[in-house]
Amino acid sequence: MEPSQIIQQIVQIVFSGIVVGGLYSLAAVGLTLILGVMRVINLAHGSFFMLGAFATYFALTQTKLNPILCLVTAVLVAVLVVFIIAIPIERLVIRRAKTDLMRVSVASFAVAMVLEEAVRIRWGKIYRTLPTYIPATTNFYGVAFDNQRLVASLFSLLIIIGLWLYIKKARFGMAMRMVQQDKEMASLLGINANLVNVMVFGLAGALAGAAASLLSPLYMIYPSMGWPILLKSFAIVILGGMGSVGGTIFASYIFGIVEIGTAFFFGSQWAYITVFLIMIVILLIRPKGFFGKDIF
Amino acid sequence: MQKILITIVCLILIVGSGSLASVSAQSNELKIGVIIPLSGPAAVIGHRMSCGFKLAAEQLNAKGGVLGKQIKLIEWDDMTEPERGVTGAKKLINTDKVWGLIGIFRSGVALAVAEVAAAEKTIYMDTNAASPDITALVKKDYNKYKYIFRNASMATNFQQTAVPFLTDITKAKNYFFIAENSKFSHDLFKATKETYDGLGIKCIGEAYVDQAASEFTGELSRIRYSKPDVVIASISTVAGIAFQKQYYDANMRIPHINLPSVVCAKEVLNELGNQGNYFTFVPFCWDVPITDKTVPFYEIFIKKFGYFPEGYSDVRGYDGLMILADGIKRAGTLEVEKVIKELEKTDFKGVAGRYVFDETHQSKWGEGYLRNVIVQWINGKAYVIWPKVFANATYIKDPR
Repeated sequence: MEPSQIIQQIVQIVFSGIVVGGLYSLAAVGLTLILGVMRVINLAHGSFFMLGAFATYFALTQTKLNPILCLVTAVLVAVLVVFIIAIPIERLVIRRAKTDLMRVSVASFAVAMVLEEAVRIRWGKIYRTLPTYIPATTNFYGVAFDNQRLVASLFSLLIIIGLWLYIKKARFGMAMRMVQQDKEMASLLGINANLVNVMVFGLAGALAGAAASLLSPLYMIYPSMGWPILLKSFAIVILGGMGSVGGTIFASYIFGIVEIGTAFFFGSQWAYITVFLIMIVILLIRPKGFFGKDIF
Repeated sequence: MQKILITIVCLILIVGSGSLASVSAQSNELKIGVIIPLSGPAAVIGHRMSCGFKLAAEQLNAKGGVLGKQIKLIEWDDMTEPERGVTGAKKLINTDKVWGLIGIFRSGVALAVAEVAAAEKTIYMDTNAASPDITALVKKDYNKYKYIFRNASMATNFQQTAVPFLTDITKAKNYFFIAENSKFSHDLFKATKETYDGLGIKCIGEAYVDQAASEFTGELSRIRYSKPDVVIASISTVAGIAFQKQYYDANMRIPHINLPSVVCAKEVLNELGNQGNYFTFVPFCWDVPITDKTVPFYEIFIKKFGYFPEGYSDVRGYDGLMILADGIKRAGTLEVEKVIKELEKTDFKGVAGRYVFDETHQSKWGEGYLRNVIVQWINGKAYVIWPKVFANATYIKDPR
């Protein structure tokens, strides 16, 4: 193979990996927010992703919009639906189980199974798909990009930038950071920690929903679609550092590149092994991940 | 004396109740254990298999059943896991007292269950799992494994379905092979490579994906850079749907042929919309008059279950139960040894074609027995492009 072809392949892998990682980052950032602020492991995060996908499907199949409006509508509907569902789950289940980490994990797993089975009973028999909003590919000096993924990844980045600015600048964002750093002190200063928690939970669910609205045209929509994304999100969050939004975003891109690169050279059956081996090595060398704080 | 009389009466009652129990066990039911995936990535296939078995049982029972007994199907979800298959087989045989076993999607599960069937001297009709190792057991040790029959096709037959697409339709010189990571797929690749090497068609790449994979960018990039004449895809589970979507969206423009899978069903292709365009696949059956039973079967099946049969899991399931029933009827008894002898003499006209078992209890493949068609999906319609006797269109390459 000529050197120019090898370079082209490497560039293809890196750019495709960044695009794919950008799509994963939305779901992973939601999970890291919960871990960072609420200090709990939410195993229902994948189910929020699934609900976002179904919401997107039903919203878009009822309307005929142009591609960009499709994309915006999909994101808004998914965000709203999942946010509304996540709030009572935090209030009625997560908060009550929060005295014990194991109880929260088990409770969130139970919530995940309930949501999945409810969707399966009501809508589950057919595997649904959505058409891509923006078809065709772009070829740039022999490196091919799927337009849908490119636009979705950019959209995902815009949402994350918006989230970052919100956390940095808005009053509620500051309240979130205070609760993350010291919940008791934040309460003493008049911040309603329970309100912060419920809003963070809703926000994380909404981010999962947004990720689903961007990813579901690429994949299929079915009740157990949330588990692979939950697994990937956990790996990304651990790599990037639990509670670190910046670390999670960085780790998402690394994850995407490793996943695509492994699939390209060795086959995708090696992708999970490679990623999780890297995760084990990182945990041994640097338990906090790339940028995180040692929460547990 | 009185004590002796009481003892004798008690003994008579005990033995008598045992006889009564066996009489009630020899009821009007012929129980058949159905082992299929009802959950997980292959659940769609398990559901289709179930539909095929149910229709066959319904039709047989409407005509009085088998030897006067109504067929009762008892399903077990193997989740495509060998351990669950074995647990299920033992439970069906020992607890539910089934007469025979039928079904199984994954070859790994079928191989494990074959050991149970052999040990329990219970007939098992394999209607889906395709590994050559399954019927090779019969050749290896006939006395132990004679209980295993397969009306499904072998991996070698699966890859033969695509041959006309490469040799006659696209005249390919090389191909790229992609499949899910399973025993069946690895067996399939071995058979594929052997066949095409013999035809002078070179394999320039192979890739295996997880059966629940959803991201194929890496594989698609690899295919693109390999520049094959044809892609042979055998992703039988739901991952095949995502693969087709991404293959279309990536504008691959390389002709690809898909071996039987979840995607090869009208309701799935309709759901895909434009992303299903130019999808070419090799159903083992279609609503063309392969036999005089084929078209009526499709009409009844669609009316009953509301979907167009995928042509393998459902049709072979239906035919498998019919073949078993036919073997029992010809034997005139439920004695397993006698039924085996009759099954070995099977010459049965089914929906998918003519079933005759070879010396390894494998249904024969080829002209005059079982074959496939090649279908291309364009703008929501299916066009048969091979064989010529059934063809109503020619192959169209993706023009984008």
